[in-house]
Amino acid sequence: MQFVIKRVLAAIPVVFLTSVIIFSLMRLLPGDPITVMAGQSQSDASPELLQQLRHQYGFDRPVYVQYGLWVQRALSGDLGYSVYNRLPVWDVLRPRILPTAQIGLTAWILAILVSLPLGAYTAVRMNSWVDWLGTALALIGAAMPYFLTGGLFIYFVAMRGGMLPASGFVSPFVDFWQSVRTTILPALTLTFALIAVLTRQARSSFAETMQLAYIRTARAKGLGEGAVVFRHAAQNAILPVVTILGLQLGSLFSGAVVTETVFAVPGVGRLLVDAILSRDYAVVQAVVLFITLSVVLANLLVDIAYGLLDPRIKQS
Amino acid sequence: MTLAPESLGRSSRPSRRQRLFRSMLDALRNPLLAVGGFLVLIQLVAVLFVGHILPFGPNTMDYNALLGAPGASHLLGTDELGRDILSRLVDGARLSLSVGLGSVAMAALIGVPLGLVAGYLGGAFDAIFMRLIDSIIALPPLVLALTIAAVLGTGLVNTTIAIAIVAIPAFTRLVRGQVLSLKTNDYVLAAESLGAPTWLILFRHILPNAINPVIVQASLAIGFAIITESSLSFIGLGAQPPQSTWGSMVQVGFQYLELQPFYALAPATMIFLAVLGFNMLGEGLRQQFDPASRGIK
Amino acid sequence: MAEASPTTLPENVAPVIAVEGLRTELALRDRVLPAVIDVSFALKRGQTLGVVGESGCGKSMTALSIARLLPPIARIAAGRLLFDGRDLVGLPEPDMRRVRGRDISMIFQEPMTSLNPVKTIGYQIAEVLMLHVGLTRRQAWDAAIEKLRLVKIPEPARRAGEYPHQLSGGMRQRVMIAIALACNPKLLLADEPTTALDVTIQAQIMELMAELQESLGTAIMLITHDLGLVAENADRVIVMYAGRKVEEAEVNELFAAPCHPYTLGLLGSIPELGASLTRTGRGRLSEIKGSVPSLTQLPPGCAFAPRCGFASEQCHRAVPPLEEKRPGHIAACWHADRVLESLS
Repeated sequence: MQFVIKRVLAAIPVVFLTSVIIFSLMRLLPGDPITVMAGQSQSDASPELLQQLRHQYGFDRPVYVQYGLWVQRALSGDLGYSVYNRLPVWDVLRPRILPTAQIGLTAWILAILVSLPLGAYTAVRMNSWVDWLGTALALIGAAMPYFLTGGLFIYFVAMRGGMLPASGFVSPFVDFWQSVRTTILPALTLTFALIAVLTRQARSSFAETMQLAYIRTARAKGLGEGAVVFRHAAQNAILPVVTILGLQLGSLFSGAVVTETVFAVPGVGRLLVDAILSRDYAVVQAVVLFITLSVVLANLLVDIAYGLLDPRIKQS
Repeated sequence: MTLAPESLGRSSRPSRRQRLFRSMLDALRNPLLAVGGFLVLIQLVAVLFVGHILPFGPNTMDYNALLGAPGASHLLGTDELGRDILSRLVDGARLSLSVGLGSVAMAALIGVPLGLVAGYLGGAFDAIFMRLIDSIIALPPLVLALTIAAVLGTGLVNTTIAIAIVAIPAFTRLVRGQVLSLKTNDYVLAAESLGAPTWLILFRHILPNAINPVIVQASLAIGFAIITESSLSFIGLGAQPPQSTWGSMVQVGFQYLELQPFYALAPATMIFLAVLGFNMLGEGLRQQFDPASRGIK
Repeated sequence: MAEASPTTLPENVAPVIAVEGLRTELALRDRVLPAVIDVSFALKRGQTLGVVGESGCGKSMTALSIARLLPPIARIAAGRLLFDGRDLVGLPEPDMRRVRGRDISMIFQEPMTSLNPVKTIGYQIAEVLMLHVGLTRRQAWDAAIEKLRLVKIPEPARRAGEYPHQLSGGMRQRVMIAIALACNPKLLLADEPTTALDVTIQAQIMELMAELQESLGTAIMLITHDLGLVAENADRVIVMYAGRKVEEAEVNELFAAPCHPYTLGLLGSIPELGASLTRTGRGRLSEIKGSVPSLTQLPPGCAFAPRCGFASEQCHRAVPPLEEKRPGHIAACWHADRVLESLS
């Protein structure tokens, strides 16, 4: 478990630096930071009140003290107030997490379930036709904007086909089946690009692994091809795929921003867009911080999973 | 290369792989470059020439044909103000490509010198600077672009700057890596021993040898820039009326998706083709420059 | 089928493996190249056959043909592989899998990469025992520890739970031997088993193999380009060149009276042959001028002729047949007499 601790410690500077970047960006925002923190528009606050708040929040202190205070407040859950509806930011953010997480994780799991077998199959059955198809799929997947994939789904599946809802999100705790129905199209939209990237990685990784000497050893033992692939190649071949999986979690948030706009999903991505458009900077700051921490945490989990899969990492 | 049976026996699988990859890529190399180049070329042609020969201007309104279906006079139909969608697509190409090319040019002009300096100087500057770059990369690119766009404000110039900032780290890291591998080369050491000034070594001796990957990266970055610009405009943060890019057309078009699907889907498809073109061009160039990388991602 | 070339096996002992007229070909995109041409030999229980030659002479291809582990572009085009009275050529793949790892095992050159890095070495040994002997997981694990003890790995119970990267190269090759010999195979194909190891480890590994061979009666096909290794460990030797067997004899006979100029050249590349017979000299086969001809451009006559000091016009025209040049000593050379004369 020493290795887990090492990973956690390594994540700290990244969190620190990104928080500095977010803090600096927020300082660069147009307008008085105190109105951002206080969640008030300048028009309805008296100069005395603003002055008092400025002192209370430490904006008359040096920048590094301000940063410290900001971190301290953020850690204690005080992210300020939303200008838009005067609620604490955390109360605005919290209900948005479930839709994003549900759609994102569905897309992520779908991508794993499709890409690994597909990549393994195309690697073992190497032929130029399959290679060509895989390259084409990867290029198309990387170039498809989410609003095109989503737009095609909405037009053909929801509008013309009438099979699934075109927009909105229903919580699984309210109506499970309706929740599934509202999750399918956005998740498919998100997963398409992910599948393209992962399948390509899985394919090249399996192809490379199948050339290795220990695969020949496994064959020389008299193992069947299935046992060779699943018992000996798979665990090694998915290691690079796991790394990509972690890196792609960040792009899931990028995707969420667009996909949640396309499908009118009340998630974190849409909240970020709305907050930026309505200049609700306390919310912007909180959402970016939330996304950063999620990405760092997810990569940490991926690192740990990697260590569990690869004994060379665990013991080094 | 002679084909030795021994090597086929002992390391048989790599050679088979090489053989397969080579045959696959012999077939693919030309298509990547050819198709990618073709897609990029028709966009440029469309921007430069096609606008003049189309019967309708991008802002010509036809109140008799609001959200008109595709037909003989309007090949892709009309939008909610009766404007010809095809004409607007061609016009939108101009701005979308300008943002793409402009932001990448900006990113390269800043990112490449930063990478040169970080890689060549090394030491504490390099260590701290690269940590910063790494932390920027930890943020999802679109989220970062959104936040920067929020700081800078809307409009195409600000969007271009925001995308450029997001695209800088890739150039810096790439060039830094190149410099690290080049700076111990004999000709660089020779230039140093002759007392050549640092800037001369960097720009005369190192940069020319690191330029091919930069060109590849630039092509891929243009694809990224186009897709990011369109996403920002789609969300409402990029181009503002009366300016109109493909992304902002998609944004408005989505409201009329059921009535006039081409309104949103045609510019979305254009974005797809443009990104596909630049990505294929980039991949094709990478293979052309570095035959060893062929087939391995 | 082409008539099998002569071999010098005594009539009265049934061999473990008899290779007859083996021809293995590589199918390239536009043509077919022979990698092994009309190779015949036989190997008895407890015997070690050294197979020597430069890289690219078809040694490994011969071994991979016997184990039917050829890469997809290669195939056995002709010949028989009589093992235990069965012809392995044409044996259905499921039956072949029961032979592989149980009756015929292989050890490869690369001890660093021949073991799966994410499986414990105990598992990698136990796997063969579960597969071929039908032991349960528990029994196989205990048996694997026994096998580790057999190959003289200290603290076998602890080592069994370790991963390959925690072991040295020599240790890993011991583990490979444990895997290969786990099911007491009749035939062990050892393809350059010590090439990647340093000299002292090399000697230990060869000693271990010899000991185990003694107790198990395994026949070993020792493929190497190290003549010193052959001199010390082999009973018979086959010399291969450009896919063909060019000479075969008892080990002492071959070293004393080489009949093929290529063999002579190989021996010449060992400084002080007499001395190297007693220590593990690393004879590199580099002193023969030129290199093995490309398979794509095999000359019409003797493949060695372009590099051969004895070559005559006849050599460039016709492939010399394998003939008994001395008692129990066959070679394929038009000028064997002159080669022998040159020794005295």
